[in-house]
Amino acid sequence: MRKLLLFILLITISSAQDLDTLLEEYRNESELSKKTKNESAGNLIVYTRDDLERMQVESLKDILKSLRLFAYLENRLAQTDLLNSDPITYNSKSIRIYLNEHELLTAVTGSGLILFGDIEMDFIDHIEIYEGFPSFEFGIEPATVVIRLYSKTPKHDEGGRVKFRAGSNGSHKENIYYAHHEKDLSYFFYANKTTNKLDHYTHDQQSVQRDKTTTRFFASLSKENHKIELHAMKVNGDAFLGSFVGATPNDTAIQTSFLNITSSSTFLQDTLMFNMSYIQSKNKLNYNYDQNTLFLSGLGYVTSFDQTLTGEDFTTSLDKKWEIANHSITTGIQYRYKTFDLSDIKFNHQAPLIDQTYDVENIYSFYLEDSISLNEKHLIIASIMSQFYDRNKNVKDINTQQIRLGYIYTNKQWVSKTFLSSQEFSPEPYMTISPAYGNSNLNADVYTSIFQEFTYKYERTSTKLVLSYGTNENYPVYDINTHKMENHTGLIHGSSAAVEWAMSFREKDKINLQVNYFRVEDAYNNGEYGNWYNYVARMLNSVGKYDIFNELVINQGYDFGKTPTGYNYSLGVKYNYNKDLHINFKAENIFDSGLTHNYWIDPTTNNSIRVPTIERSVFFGMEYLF
Amino acid sequence: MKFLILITLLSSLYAKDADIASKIISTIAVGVTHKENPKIYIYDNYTPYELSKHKLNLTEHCQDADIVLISTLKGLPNNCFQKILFGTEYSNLQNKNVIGAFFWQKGRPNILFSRENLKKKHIKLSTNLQKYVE
Repeated sequence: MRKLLLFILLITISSAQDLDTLLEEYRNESELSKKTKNESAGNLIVYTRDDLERMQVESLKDILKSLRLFAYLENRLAQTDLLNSDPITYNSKSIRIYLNEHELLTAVTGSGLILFGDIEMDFIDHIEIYEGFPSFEFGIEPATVVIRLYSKTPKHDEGGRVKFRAGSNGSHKENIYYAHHEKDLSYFFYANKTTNKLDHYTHDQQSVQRDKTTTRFFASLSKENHKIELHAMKVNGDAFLGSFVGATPNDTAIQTSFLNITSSSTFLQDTLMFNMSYIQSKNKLNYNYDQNTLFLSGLGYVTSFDQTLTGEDFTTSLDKKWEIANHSITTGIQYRYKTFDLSDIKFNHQAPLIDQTYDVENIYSFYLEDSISLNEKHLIIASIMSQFYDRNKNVKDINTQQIRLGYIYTNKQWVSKTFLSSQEFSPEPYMTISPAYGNSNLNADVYTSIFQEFTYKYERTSTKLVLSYGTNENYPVYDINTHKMENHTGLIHGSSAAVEWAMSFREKDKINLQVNYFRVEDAYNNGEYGNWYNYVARMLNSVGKYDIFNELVINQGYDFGKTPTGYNYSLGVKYNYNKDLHINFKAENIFDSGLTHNYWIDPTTNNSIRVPTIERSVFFGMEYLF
Repeated sequence: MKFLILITLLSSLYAKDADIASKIISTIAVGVTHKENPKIYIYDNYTPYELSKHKLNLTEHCQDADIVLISTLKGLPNNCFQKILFGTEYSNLQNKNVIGAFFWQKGRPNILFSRENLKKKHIKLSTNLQKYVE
């Protein structure tokens, strides 16, 4: 017995000599992403807190620019729209974004990516991105991609931080957060102001610009199993080219306000979840044109346009989990109320008669998911979901269904994931009631897809292959004859392949290489295919007190081959003076040769403007923890 | 029997942070008490972070403990104040009876001992813990 105790003591003492190493190991193993991620919910990409900090990720844009199968694109109002199809304002309704347990959305666009695609990451702990038509338990409506942002927690972030950053064109950012944790009550608050100034472009003798200032406040308060959150945002800036095709505006402006109040509660050992969320959003747009430049059918020449879009959403959901034998069953009922108004419009300061076909949508949703563990290596997933969209004012209601089947195999080195799904997506209000191109008779579009992922891990390397094939039926397209959105007749085919290789070396160094290819049929030209490639090489090194980040993103073949290949090289150096004071430098698109995007001014005369999606920039910053 | 496959994929990681936290607590307990296998009492059976309790030499009664882990002093029985009190929150260090704490702050785990409180309790730490004294 004495020998045994002596042995334990020796082991303990040897560990004790390395208490700092244990603390570092504990910090790594306590990454919150390890608690929240769900490998069976889709093709998962995780950016841990350590990744975000060492990569100096300032906004979600920095992650989206190298997202598998996508490139960072914006619409003609300089808002995030990864699947942008200019001149349609928003084409990414199926890419949904969440902050903690709740979806960030606007009543008009459905998905909130349009407002939050460049949300700053200073209060975010980690990011999970689920591609491949992920699990239904994420939300009330289906998605092709789910982006989940998790805020920092009072449990891990007791104390505060101030940060300041300034750089190109006089852009700057300042923010502060403070957190406190006790057994009974925890809170976290964060306030930020970002002023983003970009290059101005001269086109048709007009200066077009996309500067903006974003102010944000986020606070959470937790007590036992209950949490309430408040999230408010204001954006003031330029609306770049405005929504209209036909002329270059001489001045544009956009003002956005967003308010979100949420509550989350868990009961019965966290197997019963009850969530509520209220959102109020408002967008004020103003575009001005020189005399006799913008001619709109039925209105004549327009010199000014003003619009106020308002929306409110209320979402509530109740989810329950059961573990019965080898079944893990999750079910949920959800309700969403949406009201929206796009009718406050003025052309040349005169309000035309706008008959908004409907302004209220009630969504009732139900899902059931069963994950069956056949044994330690095999898991089968079967899920169904359905929504009923109840619209007012005699507009037709829509009923949508989704089915998803999955199979996962794993052993110590290999993981294989197969997902099959057929999912109907209801058209969002901006496509059905937009005064510019809305069509309230649009039908739901249907995605049918198969995704296959193989992962092989060997020592400190990981190799991943992701393959997919899918079709879309009833895809909404802009009809140049009717000037309305219409359902595409016939199937649109798409396929993709991605290979990724990652290796960690020395203590914290990482290298990541990706090649991905996407092939999709052109909805506007039957039989034509677009082929685009993304290549990513990223390296993270920690040397002494320095964290060094290098990344090269190459985008090739975009816009059906019309976009020149983009080479975006970024470099970041962070100097950790001590544990609490960090000084950093980051340069984006250093050679000013990154991806560009083309926007139509007037398709009939082939008049268009091409601008970088991410401009060259250099920033210096400092953060202090207290 | 939750997601066997995910247990293989992930749950080993779930437990790993609790294992390491327990190892840190054990190391501290040995370094503070100078005993080979000190008995630990967790007040209110609560810590703000997970511990693998089966990896600790726990006792159910304060009077049997060599060291007491606390997250709060509210309602702590009088006989516990005679023991070595070690905190799990930074705020615990404000009380002069608490000699040190292992806690999360500023996004990282920290160990901190109060020189003044150690002196008051006449506790001498093992060499490997002395660098955490302030």
